[in-house]
Amino acid sequence: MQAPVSEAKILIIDDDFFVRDFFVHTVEFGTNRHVTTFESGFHAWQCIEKAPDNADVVIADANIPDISGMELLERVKKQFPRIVFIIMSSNPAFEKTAFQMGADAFLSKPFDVNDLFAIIHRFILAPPPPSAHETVPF
Amino acid sequence: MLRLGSPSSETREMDLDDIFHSRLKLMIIMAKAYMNGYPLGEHRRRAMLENARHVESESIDLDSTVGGLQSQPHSCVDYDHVFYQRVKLLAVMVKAVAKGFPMGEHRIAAMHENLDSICQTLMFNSQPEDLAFLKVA
Repeated sequence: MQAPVSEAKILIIDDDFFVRDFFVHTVEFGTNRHVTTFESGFHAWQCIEKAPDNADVVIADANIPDISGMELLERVKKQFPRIVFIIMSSNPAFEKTAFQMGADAFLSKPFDVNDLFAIIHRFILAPPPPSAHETVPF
Repeated sequence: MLRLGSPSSETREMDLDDIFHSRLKLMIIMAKAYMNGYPLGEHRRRAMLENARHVESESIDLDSTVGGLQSQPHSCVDYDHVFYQRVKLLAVMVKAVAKGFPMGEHRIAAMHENLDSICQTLMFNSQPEDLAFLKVA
């Protein structure tokens, strides 16, 4: 029997090594897929802007160096609305802003393995249909 | 927008204890997935190996490292010691699975029993204050 392989390209951005590494191992186990990581929003944005097809799901902490997670969310949703963007934070004040900026999910710290499995199930193994703002013609 | 994680009133930065508990839970899930015959791919094997290494290195046996614990009832210290040894044993077992080492009937049975024992301990110590012995360095 073959292991299930998700085709989604996943980016995780957090400058906290311990959280990032745990996130990576959980997602790689859950999806049997390589996960790309970044410590700063700047480097993540460079990667996304240069090759947007290499990002299907972006999971970023709100507080990351150079370009914050919230600013990265704003840029990604403005230029590449098809990309699923999940914001994680230990500050609940970011939740409302993340919602207004079009985040697909808000992950409040501290989180549990089950929360990460819920993300994998919902956004990586069974991606949601295109959202309304992707289909608005101009 | 989907909301996951802690309730707003309980949000805080994740510390090493949070990471250790989550990694231990992940390792138990990984072991159970293997025991249930779930398929292992390249990335899954690597994730299992890395997670088991983390848990093994971070599960500190307080009995041998913290002198203050010697004042606790002896049976309690022994109990914690055995639990940590079981966690380390599970980490070794998961690493063996991830590396593709042959798993015979008796190894599978031992892994099953070890897994059950760890899960029972965690269930019996479900209150936060009872999980204090899971502290990491």
